[in-house]
Amino acid sequence: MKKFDERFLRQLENLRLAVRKSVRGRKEGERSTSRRGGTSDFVAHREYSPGDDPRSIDWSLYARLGDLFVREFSREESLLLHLVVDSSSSMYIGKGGKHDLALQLAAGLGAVAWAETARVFFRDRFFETLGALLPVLEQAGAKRESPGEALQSVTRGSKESGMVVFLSDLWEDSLRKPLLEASSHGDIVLLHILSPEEVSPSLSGRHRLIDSENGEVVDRQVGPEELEMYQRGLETHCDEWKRWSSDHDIRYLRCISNDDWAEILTRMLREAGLYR
Amino acid sequence: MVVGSLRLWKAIPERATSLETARRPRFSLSLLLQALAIVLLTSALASPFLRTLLPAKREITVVVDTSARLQARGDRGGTRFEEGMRLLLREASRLTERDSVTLLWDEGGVHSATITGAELPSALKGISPIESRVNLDLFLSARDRESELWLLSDQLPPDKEALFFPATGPVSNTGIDLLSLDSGELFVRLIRTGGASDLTLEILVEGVSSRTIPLRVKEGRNSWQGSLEVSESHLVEVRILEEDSFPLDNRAWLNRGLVDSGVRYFGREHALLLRVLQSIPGVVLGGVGYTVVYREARPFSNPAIYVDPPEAPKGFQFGSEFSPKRWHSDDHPLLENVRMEEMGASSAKPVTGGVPFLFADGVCVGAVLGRTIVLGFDLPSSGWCTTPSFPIFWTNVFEFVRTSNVWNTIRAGVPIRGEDVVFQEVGERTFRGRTVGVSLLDSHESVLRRAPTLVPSKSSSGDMSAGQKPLSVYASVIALCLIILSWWSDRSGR
Repeated sequence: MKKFDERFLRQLENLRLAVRKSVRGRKEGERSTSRRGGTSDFVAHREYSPGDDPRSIDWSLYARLGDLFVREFSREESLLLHLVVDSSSSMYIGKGGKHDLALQLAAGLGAVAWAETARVFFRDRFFETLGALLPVLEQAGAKRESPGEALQSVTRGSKESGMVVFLSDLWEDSLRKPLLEASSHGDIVLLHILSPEEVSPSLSGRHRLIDSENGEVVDRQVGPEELEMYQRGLETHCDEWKRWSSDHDIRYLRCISNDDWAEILTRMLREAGLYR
Repeated sequence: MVVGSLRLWKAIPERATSLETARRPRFSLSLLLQALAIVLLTSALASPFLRTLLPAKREITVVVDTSARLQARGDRGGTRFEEGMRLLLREASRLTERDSVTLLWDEGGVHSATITGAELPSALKGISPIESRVNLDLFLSARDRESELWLLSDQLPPDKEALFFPATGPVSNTGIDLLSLDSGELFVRLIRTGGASDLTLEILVEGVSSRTIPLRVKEGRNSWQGSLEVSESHLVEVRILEEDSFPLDNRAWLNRGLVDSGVRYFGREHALLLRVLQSIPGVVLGGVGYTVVYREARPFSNPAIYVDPPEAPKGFQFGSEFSPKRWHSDDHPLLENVRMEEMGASSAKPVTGGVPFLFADGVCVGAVLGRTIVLGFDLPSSGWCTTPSFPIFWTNVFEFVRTSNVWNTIRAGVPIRGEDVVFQEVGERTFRGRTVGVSLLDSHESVLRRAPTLVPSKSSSGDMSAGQKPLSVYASVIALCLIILSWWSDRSGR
């Protein structure tokens, strides 16, 4: 079944229009960065490449050296958004479809970002339109990948600051280091997605449990006592992530994979002040 | 049942089971498979076999070490290689057509041949040593572990079961293993085995003897350094006059101006400087040739350009910092086409030593000594570095220090830097219409040792009596399959 069916696309469009209305009248692209081009301050020279604007060629340098160099400038630039989705094995466990939800939220965030004239990247690849992004999201996760590596691709690829939204079930504490490294590239929003079975497991009796990431096996007798211990453990685990995020200026949100993606996104946007 | 993570479940303690459940043994397929695997592996160790009617054929890997040093004199007057080959041919003559041989050797590239035992002697006669080093580990690791190993070398094989044909001989040798010529100073390094010795070095410039130097060399590394006038010449040879057991390393050459310069970059990253270095024609960033050091204290033996180093390099001194206002130069080639009004820095250090070429407020802030350049000021990210003078200056630097003054060695068997050319033999050759000298220059090849004696055990070399089919391999493979099945059984939770 396609992740982005007609119903999804209709909801997305409605949301995009709603956000656009909310931000109408706000000044566009208020950030000044070191991105090249435009009409602002001169930064440096670089070698001419075919396709460069001939008006930017430094002709006095050409007279001296016999080679073509262009002048580079800084210009004002709009927000940069990186969407990173955890595609590790644990994201495919549970009936709720954590990975599908993550992709739907990524598409939604992309749509909202374009409404704000931001530049949108899925991991380290730039997309100009939603139409270009959706097919890629549809195929995302065809190959399982470590979420740490997905975050590092953003750190490696990007030289500019912006916002990084990371959607994951956060079962690995080792994600903290790449998240901190990514935070040097701008604000981080952490969306913690759990499946209904992870939030309230309905197990009873003796079970052999297998870890989806590393294949480790444990046997457990599960009864009311064990379920209560599990719930307490889950709350502690989520609270630790929330506290860590707060300590490092990272925005943390939690949701369940059988929630409606549009409602989750609306909640996020309301908290960000982009939607009333 | 597969879950996203066992993290929370592992924290829940395992509940104690009832006594009845604990007493009742549970059947474990995985345990049974593992037990069968252990039984099979233990049997495999006992080398079981089936009697057959046909005699077993031999599978042999023959590795011939063709390293240059095997050309050194052997015990019986020929070379070490000839010593070992004589023994190897004698053993090879006992093989038959039923035996299968993989022959591995290096002849300026890796060669292999799969032949019968009867063909081995004639194949061996076509092999001779090369004039560079051979990586024997490559052959030894590539061979079929099930086959017998025969090795002709002066070094022992990795396992005692191998048949070893020692290529041995006297160890007395002196070889030239390093040569360099820079700013009129010649440096020669020699390596000596077989005890201290007296020898004479002769230096020839364009084939004409320039000087001779008597030397006393001790065991191990020795060196000699001295000045040499080479203004218009392109070829310098250093030779050891006395004959020893290995003549190939007794001569070595330096050649002027063969390759374009590379540049290595050390110190803090300066984006504009790196960009300019990458754009200078003929200069390869990351290659070896010249060094650029930006704002770092780093001692080098090779010449370099130091930009605002924290300490003055050897031969230079720094004075107290000041704020420069007006810049000027004395028409030095390093500053050709560089506009002084574009120069600038927030602070500068006076530089003394070397030849001054750049001044600020009448004080020298840039000087050169041979091919070492020192700039006593930082490169700001704005100002001078964004003007046309900046790439012009760096182009001048590389023109100034470039290839016409660089002396290089060419080693046999090693590609000439930046070219697709490899000379395999030591001596004088023609390259791009001129005479160049190709040297061995390899301490690994100049250190001669006596090959040890290795006596393989009686059950070695995989000899099987005719008419026996070994079963160890089959037992081992079946055991491995059982282990994999056991693992799969555990994973699927059965």
